[in-house]
This record gives sequence, structure tokens and C-alpha cells, in this order.
Amino acid sequence: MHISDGILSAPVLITGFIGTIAVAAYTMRQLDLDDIPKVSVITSVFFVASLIHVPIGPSSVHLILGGLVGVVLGVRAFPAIMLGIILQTILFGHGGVTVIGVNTMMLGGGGLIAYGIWQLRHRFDIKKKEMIFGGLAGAAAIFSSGIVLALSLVTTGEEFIATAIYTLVAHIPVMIIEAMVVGACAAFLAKVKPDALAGQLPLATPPLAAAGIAADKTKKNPK
Amino acid sequence: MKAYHIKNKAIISNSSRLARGAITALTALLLLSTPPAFAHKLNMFAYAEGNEIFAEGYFVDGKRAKNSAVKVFDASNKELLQGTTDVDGQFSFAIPQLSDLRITINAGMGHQAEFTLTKDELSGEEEAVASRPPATPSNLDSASPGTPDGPLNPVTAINIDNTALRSEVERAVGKAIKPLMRELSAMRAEKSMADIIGGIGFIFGLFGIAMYFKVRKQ
Repeated sequence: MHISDGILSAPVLITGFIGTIAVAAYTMRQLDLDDIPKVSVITSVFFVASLIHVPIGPSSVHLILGGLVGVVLGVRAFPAIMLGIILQTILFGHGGVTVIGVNTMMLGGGGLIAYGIWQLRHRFDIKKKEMIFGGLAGAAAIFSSGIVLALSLVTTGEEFIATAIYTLVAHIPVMIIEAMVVGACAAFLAKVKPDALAGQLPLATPPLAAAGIAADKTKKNPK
Repeated sequence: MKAYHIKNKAIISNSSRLARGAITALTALLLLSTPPAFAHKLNMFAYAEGNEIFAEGYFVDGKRAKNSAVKVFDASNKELLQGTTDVDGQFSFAIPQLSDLRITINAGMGHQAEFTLTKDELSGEEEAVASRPPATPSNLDSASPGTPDGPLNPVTAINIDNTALRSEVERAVGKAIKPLMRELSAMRAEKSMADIIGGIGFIFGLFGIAMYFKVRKQ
């Protein structure tokens, strides 16, 4: 899911760059010293994931894993995905140099939406909520990226509804696979190393969970 | 206190298990990702044969870019013609003009590839047919100045249908190198393990630099 060079018009490309720089500048401020090793490992995973293709029927799809980045890194997913996309463009020829901005908005935005969905898990008290919300976050990242892709293609004259439906249908297999991958990762991390996940509440204060959510939302730097 | 220690130990062993797991997963990713796993990057290549140009679009996993929009531009970016690929991802058209041609294939969902055919790739055949046959006899004569009159007759006989022969040879050679051309353009598009490892190195290196400056600030 990368847009190539030479498709989009200049205003769309420039909007993409401006949006990317603004969001990246804001989210990069949230990057603490302690986070850097984790962010760099997850960026590497995102960078390599686009090379893994899963054969499905006559076709094949490749992983994106924007959802995983969002679930593990929170808002820091955006700069991580931006760096991943820059390197994918330069080294693998995915997408194109002029489209880095739009592609980052598309996939990085998916990562942020995944984080939003992932945070909703605090409002539910069900078993295996990490797996369920991780899976939902993984699928939502692809879904929102598909919508952004269709939106940016509208400016080239393609019809929105048709393009969106076509894109989303083509990505249903990826959504299912990523939902499974992200759900499994989230459940595993929740069991083994909960503080590796984004937006975790402090473990010692379960009775204050409700207050914790409020504090978590107002705090600029959720851990 | 004791419970705290036990819990702490468990966290430590968990995190080392996690690190080991992460390394295993990364290795598995790397192994899985060896080419030709570069899915969904659209490639295309085009070649001239006789008076026609053949263009072909395909995804790196081998899938053909069928029903994709093809557009042909000249050197000054003026659109010359457009069309759609067939089920094999191919599209052929008569050479619109003798200049550098830029051909693009758009397979939808943001996938587009382009290929540039230079002027001499296009004009190869016509110019060869037009200019070379007159030159050939003199070349032969100068190459064999001392030959007796006898064997000259078959040589001139061959020279007579040289034109037809030449275009036939060019067609045959063109056909024979077609798979080679395809292979070559696929190879050019393919990335190696070095790119993957290099990319990961870039990521760690850049974050390392970021960390360095953060530490200095504190």
C-alpha cells in the first residue's frame, strides 16, 4: 500500500509533506530517551514487514504492520513509520520520493488510529481484551490507510466510492492477517512484558483504573 | 520484600526471553523476506520490434498488471496515445513518432511504473534497413581486396537479399533476447539482502545518533 511517483498532483503531494512534518514534529517531542531502543526495533520490524508477502489465492499481499507499530509505540508510531517509509522508498523502491509525505500520512495515520482503538480497551472489562483490541487495532490501521489512499486518488479523477471499495476489498486478506498478527503480539506482550505496550496503566493501582484513564488522557506522554 | 524479589527475577527472565524472542522473530523475518518476496511493486518494460512497441507490466511476485491504463508521452511530456493492457499485462502499439518515448502503466490503487525508450532503440530497424545495405558490398570488397573474381558472384547474390535477411535476423534476435530483457529488468528491480540489512543499520544508526544528542542534553 504505497502510492507511486507520478500519480498525484503537486498540491496533494505538498499537503502530504506539510501534514507529515507537522505531525512528526509534534509526535517526535514525545520521544523519551528510554523509548529509543524500543522505537528503533519496532521501526526495523515495520521496515522489513513490507517485504513479507503472504500468498492468498492467485494473488499475494504484503504485510504493513502499521497497527502493530501503533499498539506498541503509541503516538511515537508516526515518526517510526515515517523513517520506515523513507528507507523503504530509498532502498526498496516502494512508492516514490515525492510521495513520502502522502504515504506517511496514509500509513502513519493508520498507526495513530490503531493506537486510538487500542486505548479503548480500558473501557471494557472482558477476558483477552489485549488480543481483541490488538486485532481490532491491526485491522483499523489498514482500513483507515485504505480510506486515505482512496481519498488521495480521488484528486486524480478516480471516483471515491469505487476506489475505496476496491481498495478495501483488496486489502481484506491483509486486514485479517494483520488482525491476527497484532492480536497475537499484543496478547503475548501483555502476558510477558506489559510495559512494552503503549498506553498501559500502572499495574499496581487497579481500583484507580477509571481515574488512571483520565490521567492517561491528559498526560502528554502516555507510557 | 521476598515477593518483590521473585517478581523482579521473573521480569528479568521474561525480558531476556523477550529479547531472545525478538531476535528470533527478526531473523525469521529476514529469512522470509529474501527475494522474490518483493510483492506489489509494479514493474514494466518495453521494447520495439519492427514498427511496433510492446509494453508489459507485472508485479514483482509475477502477477501481470492486467486491464491497466497505459499512456505514452513524448520527450516534451505531451501525451501521444493511451490504451489498456490485456489479461497478460501486455499492450502493443505502432510507433507514434521517432523520438524518446516515456511509457507509463497505472495498475490502480496507487501503483504506477514507467519506462523510457530512447530514440535509437526505436529507430534501430528502419535506419539499419535504409542505410546499411549499400554500404555492405563496399565493406566486403575492402575486406577482401585480393580475392579472385570467381567467389565474388555468390557474395553479390547474398547481398541482393541482404535487406530481407537483415530484417529477418533482427526479428529473430529481438525474439531471442526478449526473455533476457525481461529477466534483466526484473533483476534491476530486485533488491538484495544488503538493502534490508543496510536499512536496519540505518534505523539503528539514526536512533543511536538521536540518543547521543538526548543524552548530551541531559
